Amino acid sequence: MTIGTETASSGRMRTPWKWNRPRPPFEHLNLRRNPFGEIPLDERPALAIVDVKPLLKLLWPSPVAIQFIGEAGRGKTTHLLALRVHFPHAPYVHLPEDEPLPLIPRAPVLFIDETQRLSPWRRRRLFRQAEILVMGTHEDHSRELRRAGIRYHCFRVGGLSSERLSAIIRQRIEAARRGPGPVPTLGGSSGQALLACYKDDLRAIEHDLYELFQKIDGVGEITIV
Amino acid sequence: MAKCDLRIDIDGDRRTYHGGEKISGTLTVRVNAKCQCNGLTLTRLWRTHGRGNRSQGSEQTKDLFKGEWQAGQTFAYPFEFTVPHRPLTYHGHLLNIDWYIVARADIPWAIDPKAEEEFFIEPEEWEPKTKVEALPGQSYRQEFKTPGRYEFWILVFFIAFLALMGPVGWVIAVIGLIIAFAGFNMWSRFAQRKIGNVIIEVSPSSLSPGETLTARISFVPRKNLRLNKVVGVLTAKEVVVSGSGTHKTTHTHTLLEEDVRFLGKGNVAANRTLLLEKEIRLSSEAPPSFSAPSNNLNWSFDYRVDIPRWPDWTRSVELQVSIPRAERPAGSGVEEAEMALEEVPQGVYRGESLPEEMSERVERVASTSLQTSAPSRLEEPRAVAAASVLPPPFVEKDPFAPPEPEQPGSGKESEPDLGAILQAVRDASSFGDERQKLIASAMGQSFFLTLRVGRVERTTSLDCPEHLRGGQTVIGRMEGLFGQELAIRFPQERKDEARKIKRGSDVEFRAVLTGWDDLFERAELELMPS
Repeated sequence: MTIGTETASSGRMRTPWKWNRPRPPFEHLNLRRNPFGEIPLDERPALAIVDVKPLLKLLWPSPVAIQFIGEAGRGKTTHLLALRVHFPHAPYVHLPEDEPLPLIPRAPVLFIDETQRLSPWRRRRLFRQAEILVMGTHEDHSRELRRAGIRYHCFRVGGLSSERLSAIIRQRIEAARRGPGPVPTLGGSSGQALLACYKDDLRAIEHDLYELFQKIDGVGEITIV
Repeated sequence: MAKCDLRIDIDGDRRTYHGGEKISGTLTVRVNAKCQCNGLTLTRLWRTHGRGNRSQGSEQTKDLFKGEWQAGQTFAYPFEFTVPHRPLTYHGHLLNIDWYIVARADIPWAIDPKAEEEFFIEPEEWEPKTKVEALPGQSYRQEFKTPGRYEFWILVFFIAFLALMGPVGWVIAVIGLIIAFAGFNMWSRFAQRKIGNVIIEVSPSSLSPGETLTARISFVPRKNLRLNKVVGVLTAKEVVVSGSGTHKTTHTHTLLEEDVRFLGKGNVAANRTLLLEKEIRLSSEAPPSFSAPSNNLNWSFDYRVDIPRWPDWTRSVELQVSIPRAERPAGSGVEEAEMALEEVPQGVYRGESLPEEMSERVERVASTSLQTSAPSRLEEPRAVAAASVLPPPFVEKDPFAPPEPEQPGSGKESEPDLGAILQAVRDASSFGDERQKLIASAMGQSFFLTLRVGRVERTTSLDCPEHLRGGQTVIGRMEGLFGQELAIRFPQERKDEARKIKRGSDVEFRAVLTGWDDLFERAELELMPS
């Protein structure tokens, strides 16, 4: 039995459906997209502000390993991918955290990201078979590399200067440019303000700038205080 | 300087299209230095951009050229193709969906030159229905039975027993409670003990912007019950995922949150059915649902029964919002036509000074100096899947009606809606023969569909017809079908075609519905002869 029935209508207007005619996204900023959105892996090397040429000299004679060590968001993967531009046929393997680990191919030059996710046993086998191995890791594998008898170089990734941050931001904005003409720029002290807030966590800075670029409504200099 | 420059010009500088219309333009290649091109391709695709990882789909690629280019040459490749219907262009906060034409030249030992132009797909104007009568399978209805009393007492005895065991028992009891409440939804089950059997219904659960949905909730409390309120919330959210592994982050942006109050503070008498109903009109600006890996636009209706000093009873119902396609006259572009490509023979500009601005229309030049040499068509256009990109979940006509015979010149599409049929089958009870009846009524109908391929495996079913034995089965999911899995069987003589299909690719098929697999909860189709 029904004892309480309540019916209400919140409007029955017969209006034709209207669509906001899409406009080119970020056209008002002379950009194609938000420059601080997620960048696919294959586009990252073109945006990297890292000089990896001196590292090329370290890769001979083999066997040799280079490990980039650092916290999340500091640029380990960017370094790896920037170096890989010089070895376009070398496999790049990213080891996922919560999925089965993929098979690591045998190749003369190998790029492996997040090697701390390999078991020590698998790492030992990898190091013994390696010829030229470039790794991104949160943990230092120096002791294991020494034990495997392989020559190695460690680079701590991190630390971000105001100038480098400004260059990264400029590069990201340029990569999203729509056409000739002015695009938004960050004012002189903005880099320092971002570093004071987020230190060298580039990913956090990108997230902040993403929200900022969603809000700004015209081309000009942006100052972050 | 790159070895060659690519430029795409869309005819008439037009950017906005409706599904089924033609988009045309010219790809111009200007060669700066002698080079070998391992492949010049033109691809039409949609791609997301924003905070989430990039997703893309509906790719259609055409190989234009392979060979050697000489410095100073310029080539023009006019193209034309039919604009797909879905997904529509969308620009939100975390999620943006745009369509692109992308040209890429594969130059060995060099960064591949690339050019891309965006275009937009908007829906045709249409009249939302004032009152939508839900078709079978287009309503969400679920009944929740009051949990038995024994569940509660088992839990109490279990905790008491562990507590008596000492500190270790206490630790196990606390962990057990956390698992019971988080994993087995005990919180809501406790709430339901107060309000009794509950039935919720959202009708229709697939609708279009500007239309009205009806939300109902009814329950029979076992004892006199005091309620704070009974409310519903209509929500639209962009949910995107960025990064992977330890860097994986889910971002959510709420586009809309509309509260609907079914009942305010009050008392409900024991053993009496309380039926509450509200109609909610969706905004005419409501964006359609979208689902792609790492990028989603989700609609839901969330019920909440707020009981004083007791856990709240909550349930969420997923909605599917889509914009119906306008019916188009036959032959006006329901076919997803391939790009008709023409190569303007070499030497179009040879010996002439190349215009500084490459926006100089190549076709204009081609029509003056070079019309004498017939353009060599790289490939004959072929008709491929029609009107297939994303069938809207809502259909006005009866999805189970057999296809009407096509009248010459009648100008009507008679394509049945596979989405509506499968939704109805999924909603039907898996007990009895309700599902088989629904499938039987639609069996033998053919559909155009775009499948995101999950895997290709050998057809092993014993009950399949002779000509399919030893063939291959392509299993994948179709956009806009709530992630519904489909299996398409290839006959033995076409198994090689199936083996070439790559996992993760979007492939268009015309296939006939042949059945429903209750074990794997998926529709079975058979590939139509080419």
